[in-house]
Parts: sequence; structure tokens; C-alpha cells
Amino acid sequence: MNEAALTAGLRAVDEQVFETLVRTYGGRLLAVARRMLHEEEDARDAVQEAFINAFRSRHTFKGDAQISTWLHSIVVNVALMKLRTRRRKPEESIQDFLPRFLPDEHHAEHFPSWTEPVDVALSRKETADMVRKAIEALPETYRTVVLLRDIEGLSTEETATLVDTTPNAVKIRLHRGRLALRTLIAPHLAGAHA
Amino acid sequence: MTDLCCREVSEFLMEYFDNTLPEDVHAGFHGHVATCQNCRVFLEQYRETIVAGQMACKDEGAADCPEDLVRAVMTALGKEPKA
Ligand SMILES: [Zn+2]
Repeated sequence: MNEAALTAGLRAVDEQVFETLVRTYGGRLLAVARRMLHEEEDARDAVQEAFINAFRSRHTFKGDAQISTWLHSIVVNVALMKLRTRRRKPEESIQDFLPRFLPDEHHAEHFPSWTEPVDVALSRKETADMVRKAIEALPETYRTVVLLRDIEGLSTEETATLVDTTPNAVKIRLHRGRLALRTLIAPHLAGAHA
Repeated sequence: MTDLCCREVSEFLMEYFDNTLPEDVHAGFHGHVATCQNCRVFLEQYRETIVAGQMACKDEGAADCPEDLVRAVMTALGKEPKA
């Protein structure tokens, strides 16, 4: 067998292995991209781009990392890039979703307890859908950090590098994002299923 | 030291759950929460909000990759320059 044939053979093996990767991890990566980008077409583009990037850099993949972690970080990067290029509308303020306080620094609002443990509530599909919609409704700066930290499980430092800010800014955005998310989901969890 | 107010408790919730409350606010934080029912509920809901987000997104990735997306990816890879 000459060298050209060998190269072609290796390439075919690479592609076959890659198809298995796409089948194994594509669904999970698509879910990540959908959460970050919403638009189905953008999400699919991001997954495709992520696999192409992964294919190009397949020889640099370090065996000590997990393939799923490697692919995950590639798709997160691609999705963030897409968010950056498509950002045009001015971002909504998060202020309306944060807790309000009286002049004496007490909460301005009384918080009724939620009627059931959160894991019970979330076992219902409509509640899970409601929470996903609430995450989607967060202003993008906060939503991205909530997704990367709380949902995708990245560290404060990793998130700071990815969104190009300081770890402290990540902490502030995460905290406000969580507070806003609580405000958005609370009316649905207090009393609705009593 | 004096107890925190509701606003300060709300600002320190993340540190509280990360176990990184500054030493000097630790007692004041707990002192306020012990006497303020509203803050106790709020604190618990802050924690539950994180869990709710995680649970809501947990099963999404279990789905298979749509076949047309697999094909689109493989077609795009076929156009990559030969290594
Ligand atoms: Zn209070």
C-alpha cells in the first residue's frame, strides 16, 4: 500500500470514529447550544461548527481529558462566539427582577413558602418547562453566567475567561441572575399546586 | 457585632451557600436569619432556585442526536482538507 492510500485509510478511520462521536455526544451538545442560543438553527450550526473544530484539532486532544468535557468546552466556545456576533439589541435591565427593600432595609415583599419540595415540583414536565422559560427570560449577560456556572458546571475562573471578564464580575452576575430567576419562578411555585 | 439587615443577608447568600462568608459577618448573618422568617424563606428559595434550574435542564441532553444533524456534520467533515 502506498502512502497516499494509507493516509486515505487513516482518514476514513478518523471519520468513522468521528461519526460515533457525533452520535454519542451530539444530542447533549445540541441541548447545551439550544440553552445558550434558543434559535434551533443557530444551535444546530453551533454543534456542526463545534464538531468541525474538534475534528481539526483531534490530534491535539489530550488523552487524560474526557472526550465529553473536551467537546463540551468546544461547543460552549462556539455558542459564546455566536452570541457575541449576533448581539444587537440593548440588554434589558435586571433591576426589576431583584428583591426590593424598604428604607429600613427590610424586604419590601413578603415571601410565601413554596408548596412542595423543589424536586417534587420539578418532576412535572410543565414545571420544568416553566423554569427553562424563566432561564431564557433572564437578560443575556446574566443568563450566560447562570448557564455556565450552575447548569454546565464550569468554575468561576473558567467562566470568567470564556466571557472575558473578571472572576468577581462573574460572581456578581451569577448572584443577581439567581435572584432574578427566583423572582421569575416563585409565583409558579407558591400556592399553584396547594 | 450587630446583626445584618435583610438587604445584607440577601447580598451574602451566595457566600453563605459557598461556605465563604467573611469571618466578621458570619455571626451577624446567622443572628438575622434566626429572627427573620422572611429571610429564612428567601434563603431556602435561593438554594431551591439553583436546584430547579439544574433539574429543569438535566434530561435535555439525554436525547439522541437528530439523524439529519449527524449527516450534516459528516458531510461538512467530508469537505475538510485531507490531513
Ligand atoms: Zn430579614
